[in-house]
Amino acid sequence: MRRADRIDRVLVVAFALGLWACAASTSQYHAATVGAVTLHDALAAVQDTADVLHDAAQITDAQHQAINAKLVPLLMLGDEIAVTIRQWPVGTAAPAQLRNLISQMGTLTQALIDVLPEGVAQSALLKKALAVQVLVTQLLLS
Amino acid sequence: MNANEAIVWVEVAGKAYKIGVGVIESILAALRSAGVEADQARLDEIHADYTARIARAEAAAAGGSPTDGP
Repeated sequence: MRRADRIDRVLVVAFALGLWACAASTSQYHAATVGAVTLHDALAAVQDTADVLHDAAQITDAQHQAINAKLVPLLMLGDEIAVTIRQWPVGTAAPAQLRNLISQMGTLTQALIDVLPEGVAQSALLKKALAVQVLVTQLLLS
Repeated sequence: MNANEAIVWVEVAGKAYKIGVGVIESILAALRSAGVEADQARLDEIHADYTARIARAEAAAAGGSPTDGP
């Protein structure tokens, strides 16, 4: 094999490795974005449904207040996760802060699920949907 | 194409074409960049929506109407 051919092959291998590394970091960024979007959609659905149920007198003022009190820290956490991903420079390792934020999600979600009233069909569905979506989000973001 | 650049032979419909690796790299970089920009735009939308939702939830938690906005 000529020396120039060998150099060409080395360059092609190096190029392929570089491409693979870039694709991996970009897909990680995209997976994290999908996780943040999933979490946002789940929390938005809870908030909107709570408002609809409250307007239809399916839940009391006190229940509505309690749900919103538990929603506030979760919405703030979701926002912080979205902002952290937005500021994550593509091609670098995932920010350590992201893992810390995700670790807070379980406790806050459980606190919200605990105040969602029993006996309302929509709420039972909502609880399951929220639990599943939060689980998916944790998997995508971890 | 740079004379020292690595090339890749691509066969299309029986005809062989040589393409510089740099060209392929540029195309892929443009595609990657478009994907990241779309993700970033979605994250910006989410951030704006969260800001409105947090204000709404805080008002409702304090006993206000769910439709009371800032």
